[in-house]
Amino acid sequence: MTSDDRSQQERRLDDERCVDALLAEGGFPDNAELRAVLLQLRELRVTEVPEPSPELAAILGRPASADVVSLDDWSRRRSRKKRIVFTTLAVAASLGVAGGAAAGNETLRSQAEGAISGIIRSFSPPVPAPPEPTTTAPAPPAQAPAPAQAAVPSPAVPTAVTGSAAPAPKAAPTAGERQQTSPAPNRGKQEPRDAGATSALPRSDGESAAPGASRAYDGPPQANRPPMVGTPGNGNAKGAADNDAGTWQGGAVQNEAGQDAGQPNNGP
Amino acid sequence: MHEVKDDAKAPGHADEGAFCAVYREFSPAVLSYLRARDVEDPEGTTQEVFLALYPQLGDVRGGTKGVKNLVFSIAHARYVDEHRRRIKAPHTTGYDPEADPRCAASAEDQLMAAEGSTNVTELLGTLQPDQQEVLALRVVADLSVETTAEIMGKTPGAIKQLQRRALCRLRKLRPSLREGAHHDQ
Repeated sequence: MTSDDRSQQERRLDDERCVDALLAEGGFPDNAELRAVLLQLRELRVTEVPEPSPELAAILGRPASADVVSLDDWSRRRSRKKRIVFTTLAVAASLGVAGGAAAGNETLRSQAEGAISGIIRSFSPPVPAPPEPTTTAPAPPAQAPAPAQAAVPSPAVPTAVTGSAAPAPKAAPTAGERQQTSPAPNRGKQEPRDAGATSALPRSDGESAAPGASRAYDGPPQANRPPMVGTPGNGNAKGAADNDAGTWQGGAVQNEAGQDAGQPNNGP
Repeated sequence: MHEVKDDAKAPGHADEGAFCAVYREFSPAVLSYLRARDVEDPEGTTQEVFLALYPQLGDVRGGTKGVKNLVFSIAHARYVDEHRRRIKAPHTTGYDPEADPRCAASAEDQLMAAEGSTNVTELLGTLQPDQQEVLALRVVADLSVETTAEIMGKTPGAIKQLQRRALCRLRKLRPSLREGAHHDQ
């Protein structure tokens, strides 16, 4: 028996097995007519592999004909997908390295801070013109230094007090200016006017002014003490001290009241 | 030489060797099925089926059974497409009333045709379309009830019922076979 005969016999047995199973499922297990029809139908099966078309032959690896261009779009799409993933990873890695280097560089960071602050400054409104609270509030510091001189033993000489009382009203605006500008010009203004008074200041009554001075030390900020060392304000020291104690948060009106309170001292 | 194996490869990947094996294994059955369904160009449609199979082959699960299921699903879809196209665009050749597929034959004509015909495809053509499809897929394509149900979008019970009705009809349409069988015995 040749191999062809054997394969044909196997195939026939296979066909019969399939048809018998189908007839048994349908409820006609012993129907020979139907069995013959179904076996005839089964013979429609062919065993030879059909000749592939040129496109199919290109896929199957057989020599392609001239009218077939390429059919490996599928694999190319896969490689393109891989390329996109690789590019994304590479860009992310390089961005991470660059960001780390920028964060570690001190000069770059300071430059970045400067640039950012410049941008913020350009967007923020201009420096406000001296608002009311800032012009009035600094008044006490202007007069507060006066007691600072009171700490230096200085007598409450009437002439000196009157001399020092005069510049006091001016001190308020200058103090306001001082906060906005540099304090140096104020000193220059005050010193010439008070020069005579300071020279006339005896140093005997300094202790009498000491209580006021001790109170006055609490009020003024530390920054205002040095410039007023040479200024008089002795008689004003009490008033300023009172003014300081009572009206730290007061305005110019209270300031004047403090001067008025200091003037009666000048009379006697 | 590659053979169609049950162990599935990595998803999304199919090489030419596997595709060659699938083509060798299933192309004769697909061609037979399309011939049994009286498709106009069964060879060309078989090529189309495998060209459509190639991009999907890497994602197939279920080994040989899964591949076979997919192959005949595509073949069935191709046949349905052609059947619809044929209904929409009838033949443009000269009109022959005898050959007009839109004419419904009477039961007497069908019986006479069945008795006088020895061609099994013509005999198959006397059945309802669903019954024809079930017999073609089960007998010619050699598919199981479950796979046939999946391909046709029906339940296995419905397939068994269609199969039973088709056999009953064939038995009624071919009484001569019984006589022929008796004569053989």
